Formats: sequence, structure tokens, C-alpha cells
Amino acid sequence: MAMTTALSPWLLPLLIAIPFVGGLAAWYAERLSLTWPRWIGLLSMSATCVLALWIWAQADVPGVLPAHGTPTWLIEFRAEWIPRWGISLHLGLDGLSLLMILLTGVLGVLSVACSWREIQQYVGFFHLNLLWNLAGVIGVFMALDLFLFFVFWEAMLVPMYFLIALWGHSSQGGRSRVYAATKFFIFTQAAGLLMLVAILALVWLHRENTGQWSFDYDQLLYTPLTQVQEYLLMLAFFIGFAVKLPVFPLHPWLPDAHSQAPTAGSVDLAGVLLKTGAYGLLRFVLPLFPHASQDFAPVAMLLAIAGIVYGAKLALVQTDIKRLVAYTSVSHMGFVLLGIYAGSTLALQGAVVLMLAHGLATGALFILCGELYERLHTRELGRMGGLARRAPQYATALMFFALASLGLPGLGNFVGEFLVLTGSFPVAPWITAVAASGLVLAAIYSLYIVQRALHGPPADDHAVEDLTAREAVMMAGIMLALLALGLFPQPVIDLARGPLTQIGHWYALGVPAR
Amino acid sequence: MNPTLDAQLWAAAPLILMAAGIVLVMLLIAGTRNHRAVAQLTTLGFVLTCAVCLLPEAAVEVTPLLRIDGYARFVMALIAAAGAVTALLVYGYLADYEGYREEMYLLLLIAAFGAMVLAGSRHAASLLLGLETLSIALFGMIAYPLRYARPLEAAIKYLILSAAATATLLLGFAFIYAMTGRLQFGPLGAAVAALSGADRAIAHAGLALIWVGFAFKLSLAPFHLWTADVYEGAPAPVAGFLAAVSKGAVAVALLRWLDAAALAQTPALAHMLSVLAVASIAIGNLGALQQNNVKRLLAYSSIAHFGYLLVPFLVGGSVAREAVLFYVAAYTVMTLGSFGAVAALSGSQARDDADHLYDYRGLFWRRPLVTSVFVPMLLAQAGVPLTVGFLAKFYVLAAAVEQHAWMLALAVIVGSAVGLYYYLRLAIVQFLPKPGGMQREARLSEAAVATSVALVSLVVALIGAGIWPQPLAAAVSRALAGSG
Repeated sequence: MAMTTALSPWLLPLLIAIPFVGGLAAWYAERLSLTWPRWIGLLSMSATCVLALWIWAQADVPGVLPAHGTPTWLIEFRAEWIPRWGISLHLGLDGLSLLMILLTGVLGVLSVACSWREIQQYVGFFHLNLLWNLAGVIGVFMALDLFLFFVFWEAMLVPMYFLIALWGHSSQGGRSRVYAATKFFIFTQAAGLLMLVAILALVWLHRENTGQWSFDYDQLLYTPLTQVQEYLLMLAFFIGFAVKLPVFPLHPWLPDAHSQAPTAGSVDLAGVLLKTGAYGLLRFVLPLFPHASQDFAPVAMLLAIAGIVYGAKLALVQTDIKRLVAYTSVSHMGFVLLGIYAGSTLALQGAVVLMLAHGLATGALFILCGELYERLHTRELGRMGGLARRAPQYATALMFFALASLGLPGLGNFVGEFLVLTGSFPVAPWITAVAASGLVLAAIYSLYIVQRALHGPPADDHAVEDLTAREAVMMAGIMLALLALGLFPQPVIDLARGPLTQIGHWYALGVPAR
Repeated sequence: MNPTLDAQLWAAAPLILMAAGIVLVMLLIAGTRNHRAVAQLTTLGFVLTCAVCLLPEAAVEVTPLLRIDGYARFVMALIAAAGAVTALLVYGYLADYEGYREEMYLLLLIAAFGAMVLAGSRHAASLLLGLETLSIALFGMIAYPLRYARPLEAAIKYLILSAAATATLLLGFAFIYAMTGRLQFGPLGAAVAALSGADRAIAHAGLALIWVGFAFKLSLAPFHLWTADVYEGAPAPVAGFLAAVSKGAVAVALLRWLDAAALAQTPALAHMLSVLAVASIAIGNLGALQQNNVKRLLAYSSIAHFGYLLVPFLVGGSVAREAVLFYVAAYTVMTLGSFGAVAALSGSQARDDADHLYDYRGLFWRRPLVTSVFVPMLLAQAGVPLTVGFLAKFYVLAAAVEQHAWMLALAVIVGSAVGLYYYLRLAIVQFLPKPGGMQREARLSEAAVATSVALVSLVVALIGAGIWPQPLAAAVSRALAGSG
């Protein structure tokens, strides 16, 4: 790598430490007043964002990485942890992780902001969980030691569980929030343990080869595997990440978790947690098991289109607006999965842009759902209607993000989906063609939301409060970000180009020996 | 070669200290009854013993019965630390007890002494002596609140079943002695292997009987039926000691015995034991799912834990021995902490301990300290990272993967997934609002402080060893390096 600017490696632990310490401070500050935790949460997530942006500005991002080179990091942090097992605190940051961390920071700010009025109980403890969850996610995006990665991967679940179980909504006569939270936890943890066994098996094979225990990504990348070994390990990793993404048959936790979670929890889940699954596929599955992934690609792509169509179909029949948005996530993440397994640089870039855009747009939609619930105390589409006249600003925002979600050109989602489809077409034309039909369904369900919620006769005569200043600022911010992503995606694409090209090459040709 | 008497006495220092403690406490009780002084003396004795065990010493054979090496010292330190914590918990628990309180500490010391003998035993005689010293003292501890029916019932159950287990064990040793003429563990494996024909069959029957005896003590399915009743009836701190120390020490003795009587020669037995492990995981987890009684839930979860622990026993290999020791250490912390939390909420003046799920509603707002100990303990048992419980599971899975025992690894995974459900249920209920019961219950008393000290030190150990496991991992490797 040419000319590294001297960025301190300690910046990486700092990125995790800010929300972690912020969470503790917020918990303690509850004794002083109920507003303090909110401000502390807002400040620490803003600080994370600023730090990430600062790193982006300072770091010397190489335009092109040698496709066959070793992994290259903008900043790398390494410290001894458990020498008995060859486990180290190894963190690394490249363009891909930086983008994901930035997304986490932005959605973190939004999560705190959107809970300002919704969360009135145990405010300090709420922010503790929210911030620790985000700290875990940031750790996932940087960990380069597989053990450390797994620790972060599991550590982010516990706070999420509490967020859903303690501050969620229990639908009347339906399933309780504890049920939804437990389902979420069991799904992800069981799949996670399967991944742990695969990690251990990989480490053990590496030890057979070299005589040394190591959980290090840079080392394990070069473990020679037989075809069967590679396929089995790949499958276990894939299941671990597929539950999170979620990939079609492993998604049942998602609608329940979303519909019971508090708004911040949904934003966090859809915006950030789902992305950890996609990130895991990109960072670990493709580079560690390139040949098996190639063999598996047709299956993964079929699952992707199944998810696209199935998610969209189910979204169409929902009457609960939040469940509807949750199912659209399944559909959108299908595109991401398609892009990842198509594997061309273009498709990978599309997947990353789509991840960012989906995080913002769906996060905004969930915030709007939450605001609607605060006003109408219902999420049933049948009991809405006429909001366009009763709350025009709100209606504008909902319209905007519904259009973003259906992939209107000029907004980020369009760029992502377009790149994914263009990049996948040469690889798998038929599958891409079916996937494109998902866009039609997306248009239908997005317009369905708009029509049912905003138009038609109002369900009752109560006045509906329009967006407050805080809400309007949040919405305007996300709109600008989506517009920027839609009109000038180049800086984002450039930032992640190096690592994505490399991953694409490894995926196509295998990781070259050192 | 026999080590000098000096060396033998030095090596046996932890045991001698404990014995001295027992005598001192007994004399003190005979002189004046003073609850606080007895508790202080007991805790001091445990702490001293623990400190002595941590001094590095060469391995020494103390008579043909005991071998005090790094392995025994590590386990003795663990037992002494657990004893100190239990003494503090008991102090809080018995503060309001009407009746003689001091003998509990005497029994506790004797039980811990028996467990320490077990840890060092390498001979059938010392194994049985240790086991019986431990069990008989525990019998008294379980029945300590004499006036209530449940502890008495539990104690009788424990007495009878533990006697049956000992009898089985004895018969097993007798068979093996009859065929090989040996009681020491060392040459046992080779001696059994050298047999043939009917002699061999009888020796194998002896091995199987010994396993049955151990399975009783470790409450492996299908010999687990006593567990839930006894844990439910016993006073909470005693239940914790019973679950952690008594089972842990037996597991540790088993590991030493197993080195000698290698499983590899008896594939049929190994097969049976795999079934036992899977059955324990299944029955423990499924049984816990249906419990609304916290102590019964913890009892079933401990059955499942010993199912997981059996996995490294079965697969063998270098990692496996470390896995056993690490798991026992982690399990001791988690179990003591969980039962300690129950003990902190209960008192001996009430008929029953606070063991119904409803008692835990809103606990976070009423007794934040207890919840902030209990919830990490539960999450650790569920295997959540940054706690020592996760590392314990990590060791077990590593051992299974090393020996390609995929089915057993799968059983551990499925068991853990099921286990999450009840651990999380018990954890979350502590945060849910309880109508009319959201005020902080502050009771500042000496007893409460003693309990809090015990709980806080446990949670510090739990999370400390979870975040920085190297010292524990290194200690475990060292302990095993010395044991032949």
C-alpha cells in the first residue's frame, strides 16, 4: 500500500469504546434526569459518525488494490488476548468496513432521536442496551480474529434481546414481545453456534497444517482445504450469516421481531443488524471458501430470488404497516444476496450501495411507522387513510421513502438495485430476469402503503399532529443522504472499490498462496 | 521412591489446614456459640487454604492414597474458594435462623474437606473416603432447617440414593479388585487390558458399575431423578454448594480415574456413555423448559451441563482434559452465583426459599444488585460471550471438533439453543414490572453485606475470566501438565 498516513491504530478500539462508554454513562445519567441519557446517546453516536468521517477524510484510500495481493487495511490494530489458543484482539478497517461503520453511526443517531418521545420507561437502561448493541455491531465490522468476531457477533444479540423484550409492543391477542425476542435470539444463537463449530474446525485444520493455533483471518485465509471440507465449512458459515440476513427459509424470526420491537429496535435491526449478515458473507464466506462458494452460488441465487419474490408477496398481504415494511426487508436483502453471489465487482458494489440505501430508507420507514403509532395508536392500515390532508409533511416523507423503497431513479436504492442487476446479468441471466420482477412487486407494495395510509377517506375525525421539528429534521437528513447516494454514488463506490475488487477476484479465482 | 515425610506433610498442607480448621471450629462451638466468629473463622480457613493451594509445588505422592500435584492443587483452590463464597452466603441466609446456626459451618468445612480428598485421590479407598465424607456432611447441610418438611424429605432422598450410588461404586471396585488385585488407579488400565475371557468380562462389568456410581453422583440421565427434588428442598446456599462443589469434585476425580481406566478399550461402554451424554443434554434441557420453580430449573440445567461436560470425557485428546477442568471451574462460578442469587432473596425463617418464577418479577427494580449478578450468571450458563460460560462451551466444542465427534458437537449446539429459552425467560422476568412491587428494597445489614460480597466476587470472576481468560486458561494447562 502506498504512503500510509499515520493514523493511530488505537482509533479502532476507540470506535467501539465510544458507544460502549456512552452506554454506561447514559445508564448512570438516568439518576440525574431523563433527558441526560438521550443527549449522551446522541452525542456518543454523533461522535462515532464524526470519527468515521474523519478517518475517511484522513486515510489514504488506495484506488485499486492488487487483485491478487494480501488483504490490506487502512488501519490495523493488534494486541495479544488469549495466547493459549492463538487468539488476538485483531481489528482492521478497510473501505467496506468504514462504510458499514458510518451507516451504523448514522442509524445510531437516528435510533436515539426517534426514541426521544417513544421511550419513557427505564430511559437510561434503554440507551445502555441500544449503545452496547451498536458497539457490538461496530466490533463485528472490524474484527479480523474469528474468535473476536464471534464474540462481537453474539454480544450484540443480548442488548437487542432486551430492547425487544422490554420496550417492545405486545400486539393484542397476538404474540408477546418476549416471544418475539426469544425467537430472534434462539434463531441467531443456534446458527451462530453452528458457525462456531465451523470456525473451530477451520482453526483445527489450520493447526494440522502449521502446528499452530490461530484464529487470525490473515492466517486462515490460506488454509488448504479439501473439496468436502470446504463445502461443509462454507455451509455452516453460510447458515450462520443467512439467518441474520435473512435468507428465505431462515427468515421467520424477522417479521415477529420487527413488529414487536420498539422503533429504535426496528431501525437498528433493519438498518444495521441485517447488514452484519451480508458483511459476513462478503468478508468471510467468499474469501475463506471461494471454490465452495462458487459451487454453491446457484443455490444461493435461487434462495435470493425466492426471498425477493416471497418477501414482496407477503408484504402485499400484510395489514400491519410495520410487518409490511419488515417483509420488504426480506425482499431487498434478496437483492443483496444475489449481488454478493454474482460476485462481479459491479454486483458487489451494487450490493454495498443497496445495503446503505436500504438501511437509510427502511430505517426511515420504520421511524415513520413508529411516529404513526404514537399518533394513531394503531399500525393497522385499515384504520388509517386520509393522512395526506391531515398531516401533509408526514405524508410527504412517507411518500418519499416509499418511492425510495420501490427504487425510483435518483435515490440510492435505484443505484444499488441497478448495479446488482447489471452485474448479475452476465453471470446468471435467467435468475436476474426473475429478480427484476421483484421491482414490479416493490412498486405495487410501496404504492399500496401510500394509497392505504395517505389517501382515501380518513378512518376518524381526530386531528393528527404533523411532524414535529425533531422529526422533520431527521426525515430531511435521511432524504438528503438518499439523494446524495442516488445522485453522486461515486465517492462511496470508490471507498469500497479496493476491497470489493479483491474479494471478487478471490471469489472467482481462489485466494492466491502467499 | 518415597518422598520424605517433610515433603509429604508440606504437600498435604491444604488438607491439614482444613482439618485444623474443622477442629478449631468444633472447639469454638463447644466453648461459646458465636455465629459471627464461627463464620469468620470458617471463611478465613477457606481463604488460607486457597492461598496455600496457589503456591506452586512439585507433585508429591502422599501415601499411596493421595497424589498432590498441580491438578489437585488447582481443584483444591477452586473448592476452597467455593467454600469461602458459600460460607458468606450461608451467613446471610442463616442470619435470622432460630436455632443453632454454627454447626452449618462445621458441616461445610467437612464437606469441602471430603471434596479436596477426592481431588487428590488416586486409589479406590481414598476416593470412597472422600466421597463419603462429602456426602454425609452434605446430608446434614441439606436437612439443616429441621422444622420444615421439604429439606428433610430432600435429605432423606439424597441419603438413600447417594448410599445406593456408593454401594454400586463399591461393588464395581470389588469386581475389579477381584480380577486384577489392584485398587490404585495408576496401573488399572493396563491390568484390565491384560485380562482375557471371563475375567475380562467381570472386570468390564466392574467398570460399568463404577460408571453407574459416578453417573448417580453427577446426576446424568437416567440416574438424575433425585436432582430436582433435592435441589428444591435444600436451602439455597447448600444447593449451590451441592451442585457446584460436590459434582465438580466427582467430575475431577473421574477424570483422574479415567486416565487410568481408558475408555478406548471398551467401545461398547463408550457408546453407552455417548447415549448417556445426549440423554442428559436432552432431559436436562427439556425438563428445565417446563419448570416454574427456579431451583428445579437450575437443577435440570445442571443435568444438562453435565451432559455437555461428559462430551470431552468421551472424546478424549489433549484439549479434552483441559476442557473438563475449565468447564468445572466455570460451572462452579455460574452455579454458585445462580444459587447465591436465590439465597440472597431467601431466608431461613421462611418456609420456602424464594424459588417461584413470580418472586423474580421486577427484581431489577427492587434488588438491582441481585439481578445484576443473576442475569450474567444465567447468560453465562446459556453460553453468551464475554462470560466464562461461553469459554467453557468453547472448550467443549473445541474438544469435540478435535476428535471429529460431530454428533456430540451437534447435541451440544441443539441443547444450548433449547437452553436459551428458559435462561432468557428467567432473565427477562426480572425486568418485567410487578404490580405494586417496584420500590427498591434496601436492607442494609451485616448479613446483607456478606451476601453482597459473595455475589459481587462471583460476578467479577465470571466476567473477568470471560474477558481475560488467559490466566485461567494458563492455570488449567499448567495444572494438567503436572498430572501424570
